[in-house]
Amino acid sequence: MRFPSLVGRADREGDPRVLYFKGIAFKRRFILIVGIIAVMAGILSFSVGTYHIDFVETYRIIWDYLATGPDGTVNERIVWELRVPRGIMAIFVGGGLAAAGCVMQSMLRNPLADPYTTGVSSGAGLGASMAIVLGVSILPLGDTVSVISNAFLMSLIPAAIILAISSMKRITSTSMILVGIGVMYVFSAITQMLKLIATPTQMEELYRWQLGSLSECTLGEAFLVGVVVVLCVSALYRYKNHLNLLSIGDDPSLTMGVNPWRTRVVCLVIVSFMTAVVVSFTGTIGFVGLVAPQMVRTFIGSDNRYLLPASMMFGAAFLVACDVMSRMIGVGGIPVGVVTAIIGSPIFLYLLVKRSRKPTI
Amino acid sequence: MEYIETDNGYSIVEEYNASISRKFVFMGVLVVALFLVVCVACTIGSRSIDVLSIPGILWNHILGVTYPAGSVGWWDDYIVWDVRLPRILGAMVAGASLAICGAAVQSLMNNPIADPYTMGISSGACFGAVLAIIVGFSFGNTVGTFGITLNAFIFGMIPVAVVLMLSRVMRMSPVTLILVGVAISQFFGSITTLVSVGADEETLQGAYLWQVGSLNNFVWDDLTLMTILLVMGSIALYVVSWKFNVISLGDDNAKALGVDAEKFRLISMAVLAVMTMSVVAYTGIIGFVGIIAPHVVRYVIGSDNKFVIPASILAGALLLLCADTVSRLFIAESIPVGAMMAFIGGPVFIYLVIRKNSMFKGAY
Repeated sequence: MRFPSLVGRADREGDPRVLYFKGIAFKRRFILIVGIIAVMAGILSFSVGTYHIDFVETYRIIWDYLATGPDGTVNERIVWELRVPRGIMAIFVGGGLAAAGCVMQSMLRNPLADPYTTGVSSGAGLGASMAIVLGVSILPLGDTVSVISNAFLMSLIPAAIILAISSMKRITSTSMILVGIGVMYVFSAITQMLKLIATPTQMEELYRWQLGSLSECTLGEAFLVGVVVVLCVSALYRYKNHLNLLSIGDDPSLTMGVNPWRTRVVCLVIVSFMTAVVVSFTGTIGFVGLVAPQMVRTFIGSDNRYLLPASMMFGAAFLVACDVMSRMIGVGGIPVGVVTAIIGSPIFLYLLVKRSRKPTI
Repeated sequence: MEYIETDNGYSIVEEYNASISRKFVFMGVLVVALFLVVCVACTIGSRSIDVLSIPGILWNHILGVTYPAGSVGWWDDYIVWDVRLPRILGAMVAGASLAICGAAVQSLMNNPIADPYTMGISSGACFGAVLAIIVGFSFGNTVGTFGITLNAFIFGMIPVAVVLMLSRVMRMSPVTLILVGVAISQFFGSITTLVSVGADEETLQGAYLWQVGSLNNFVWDDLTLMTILLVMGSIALYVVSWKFNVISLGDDNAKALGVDAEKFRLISMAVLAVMTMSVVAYTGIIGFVGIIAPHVVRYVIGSDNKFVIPASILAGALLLLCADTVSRLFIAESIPVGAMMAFIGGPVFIYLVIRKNSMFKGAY
């Protein structure tokens, strides 16, 4: 898109149109660069771990595997069964959570909103604790996947409640948040009561689950999460302009011909589904969904056309970086959810203070 | 003005007076309910005491009536006044403080899910307490309950200090303030986790109990600081409650009306932080009441902070006391009072929100 009047005088600094196009170019460049960083970080993460495998050797193993198929050596199994799935998982989980957080903040007009605001995490927590403490599996799929299937099913309940309410009346964004908070409190209360009858071992397992971890996943799971995240984020990206209007207000978006209630519910369903899938495989990894979009806002502002893809890239790069660090520090590895907050909060605080552009929502 | 008719056929003045009296009636109902629940709560325990005799026992103690040691009256007096009442009053004061702070923070931040812990107080305090419990480090070299309390208090003040310091170098809009709080609380939350990784089960259990909050083992001495701060803080907040109304119109409008929103927000934050800290240091982190009680109040009497602030005190006290009473009544004291409250109050709250959906549009 180019205005004819710009031709020949694009060097005029004060012209707001020039500034506008420069701004757009910056935002596109930001997305591209962060995206490249995310992919590079993901690939580099394959060579990091407690078991030492030479840097070049790692990629030779991956190349050999792709070219000639498996040969069953220990190094190959470590790379293909531990590191590659983990790197891929980190990319998609980080990207998915950050994109979901961005959408939630825009559509609920609340800087405290994150993918878990409507109760997904507490639903999943209850499902997981049912599986771990009581040994109950809702779907008869066997014990190995009972945590995953329980967490997934239970995490859909809060969204289902909001969906049911919104089919009866036009639910405002504040009501949506408050219903989510209510559901969240009820579910975590039940989880707390289950914790009372848990044995110390079960407590330990539940605690680890709630901190979130990327360490136990297979390649298939990583690709499943990847497909879901990519599909859901593309679906959300179709609503980018709607989200921009929603973040101004319900009345303005009505005036512009966008039904705010319907848009909110559709976005909520997509976000909840994506978050439910992510959470059921990794546990509740915090921080990324809440803070990554806010960090991006200090760079490129709150226009969802750019903010949504940029958040996704940034979240992916951030989670991969944190996961690499969590693998390098300590013997058993520190949970990635802890590393994200310890490293991320000072950076976020720095950005808040130093960047002249403050997040607005 | 007096002759302008509203849709209901009353004059505006009549309508206004009716709405004001409705607010007073609501508060009156809360006071009566609170008194009744206190009486019921006093009867719960291993020694059975008749509900109807409770007001008499309390009144006689206040008058200074003494009983011969070991007599029935003496035992009743001792059990009610020294064993059960501290915990009951503790629940009331804690609930009241958290609710009034919640109401004020929600107004200041213009955010319905803000609560007294949004600024990071709870995670700072939590880190302090966990440090005392697990590592054994505390200010004043006193481990044990006092060390935990002191540590929680001091570390809980760090987030507020950071916010106040940052306010010198940057503009603190509500969103920035919230985000600074988020950053600080996430940071403290994660180092708390880091400290707890590798601790043995028993200390972990202690740390966990502190994190979910509890009203067990309350004695009269614990109440002093909490109560003094509650009384002083709520008087201060009530005096400036009109400023909260002005601020909810937005910072620019507030400035036009002569209120420096930014400065007022920071000063109020400091006051609220001290009040919240005094509760958190003694009880641990009790959730739910700070965020929900103000909403319930607004649902009944609207968003005028002149009434929301005093009514929140009563509603918060009632909510936490009811939850504590129920958990004492039914299943021992092992269920955290916050969980009990959320379990009972959550569905009721969801129902309220759905009923009054259109009211929740964001006027705080």
